[in-house]
Amino acid sequence: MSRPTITALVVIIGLLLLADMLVVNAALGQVAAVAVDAAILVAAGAALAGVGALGARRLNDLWRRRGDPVGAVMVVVGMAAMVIAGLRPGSTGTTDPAVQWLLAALLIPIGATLFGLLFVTTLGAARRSLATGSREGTVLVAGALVTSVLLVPLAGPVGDWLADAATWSLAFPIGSVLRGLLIGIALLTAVYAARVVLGIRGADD
Amino acid sequence: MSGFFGTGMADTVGIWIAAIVTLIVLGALLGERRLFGWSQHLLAGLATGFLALIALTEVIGPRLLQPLVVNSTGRPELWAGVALVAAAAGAPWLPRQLSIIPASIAIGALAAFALGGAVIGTLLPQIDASIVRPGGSVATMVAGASAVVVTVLVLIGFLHGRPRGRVLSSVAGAGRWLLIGGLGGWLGFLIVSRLILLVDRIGFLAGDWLGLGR
Amino acid sequence: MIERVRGLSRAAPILLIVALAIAGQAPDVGWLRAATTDSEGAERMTSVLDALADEPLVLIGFDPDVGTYAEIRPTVRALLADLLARDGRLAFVSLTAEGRALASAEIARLGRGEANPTRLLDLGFIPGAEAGLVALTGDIRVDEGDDGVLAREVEGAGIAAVDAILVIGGIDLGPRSWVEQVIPRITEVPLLAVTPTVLLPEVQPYLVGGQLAAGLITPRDGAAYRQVLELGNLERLVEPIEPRQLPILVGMLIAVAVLGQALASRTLAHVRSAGSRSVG
Repeated sequence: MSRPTITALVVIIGLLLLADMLVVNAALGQVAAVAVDAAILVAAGAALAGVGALGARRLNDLWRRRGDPVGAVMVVVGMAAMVIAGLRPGSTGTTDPAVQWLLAALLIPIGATLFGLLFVTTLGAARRSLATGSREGTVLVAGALVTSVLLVPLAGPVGDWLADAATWSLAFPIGSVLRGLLIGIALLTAVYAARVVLGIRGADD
Repeated sequence: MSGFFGTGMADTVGIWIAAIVTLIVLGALLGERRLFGWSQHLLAGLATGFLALIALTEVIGPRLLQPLVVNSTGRPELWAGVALVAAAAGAPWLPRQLSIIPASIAIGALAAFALGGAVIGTLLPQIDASIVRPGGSVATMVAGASAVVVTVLVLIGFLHGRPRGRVLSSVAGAGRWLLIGGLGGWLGFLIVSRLILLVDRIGFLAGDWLGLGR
Repeated sequence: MIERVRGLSRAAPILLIVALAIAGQAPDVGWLRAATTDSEGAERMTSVLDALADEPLVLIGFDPDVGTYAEIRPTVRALLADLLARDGRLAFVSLTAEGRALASAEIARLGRGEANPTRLLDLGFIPGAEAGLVALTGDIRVDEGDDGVLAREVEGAGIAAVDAILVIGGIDLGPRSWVEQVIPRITEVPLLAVTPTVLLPEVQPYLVGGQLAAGLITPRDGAAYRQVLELGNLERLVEPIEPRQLPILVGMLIAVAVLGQALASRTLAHVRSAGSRSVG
């Protein structure tokens, strides 16, 4: 299938869904709903593709004895355990006790603890950014230091003052900066998405 | 307390397993990389296995397979759905002419939602919210105007490309410094949140696992 | 000397964890407090909930991520219990895999806590992120096995039956997607949010701009909200122990010391080099 046809498909789907958002029309809505359902099914299929690709790669690594065999076994065992727990005869899927056990005993604690490490690594990264000597790093860390002090959880009048200052800093200086950032990101997103929807830029670029 | 476990024997075993993997991950701080790496591989396997499970049992099964089992001939759109899912699932291995169809649907939908959402959902309302309207106290209007100035400077600093004249470069430079300062302030909030995550894991080990402090 | 410094820096993480563990076991002290005496975020959330209709039907977009969920978990559980205490009916839907994992775990926890099952509806998982959100504004699919009154109401009326939307956000999907994809497509329904700090950049402007009716977006907001709850016998559904503040204080002091020392060293080095340049 040639590139102009692919681009046309992207443009048609894009314009259809955009029109559905802007115009209230029952017939248009029904056609758009089909496109939305198609996108959902594609996402489900893509999820299976990702899982299949990872599993195939790790099994291939084991077969060819390359890379870390224990790591590859961990990936395959993890996948298999979850799928078997959820799909075995009599299972209730995600609500099955076996699936819930795997989530509570393994997936959630590993993931949660991984992010718990970020406290140490964030402080380390902040120190390293200062070590580079850049002014930007200095301003960044100084800002972090100021709000860290404001967030110390003290009670009493000192704590109230710190908390009020933290709330003000979030509402005004930090909040204004974040709004500018959000508007900027939305602008860039809109420009790039418009180019894709209008076919100005190739969809597979 | 995490609250994800009940009181049965399986839950007790689960708490021990959770504690062991928690200690393995925390061991990365001490330089123990091998076990840490394997725990991450296990996480990847569990997460992708769960993704496959919910894709099959909560999307493809109820939307396509179960209705087809009931009536396999009277609903051609379901067969089209099956073909679409198969093309998407087989994309890494199918010829480009087939795999590009679900990709185009996904890209077109994503672009449309991004464009519509960014303009109607974010840009217009946020620009409207930035406008300082008369009627409030002087302090409120001054604060509002100051906030708008900061927002505009940050926006110019964020979007500014090649330098174009001294004035615009200076404005963009000011916006850039405000942006860095604001992100630094946000970093302070992030440090607290990450501390809470670490304290929670330590609390799980002490409370749920060792039963201390109950 | 260098070896000693290296050894100390290697031991620092374990010393940190030991310090936090010890602080976590120390008794609570009155001069520490998580919440402020007045939190606009908590007040706003309470007033929006108070303004909801009787027995409100709340669509809960449950998409936290496993990494940051611990930050908002006490607040999420308190909010769910509060909604149930207000005779709310909760319909859970997830658009991310991690969100679905946590949603199923929380629903199971509510079941163990003997929450009224007729007030809970599990709408499962919808992939496609934005596509899934747009699909929710059209019709809401209910599992065929669900034939309760709540399920029939949601299936029949769709999102029009919803009195409020509560977004439990995470890194993969947060209130921004709901603001951009759902709110423009439906008649006015208050959008509430509980999010971790990492989502501040996108949530704070929406709160100020009014696109979010209320949000608990910092740990302090959450603590202030939890502080004023009166749940009666639904207290069993919240976390039995509030997060301890002494380990937070210890950690914050360490963070301030680390950042302060690094910043002071950097400033001193800069002053020295500027001084030597001016002398030269």
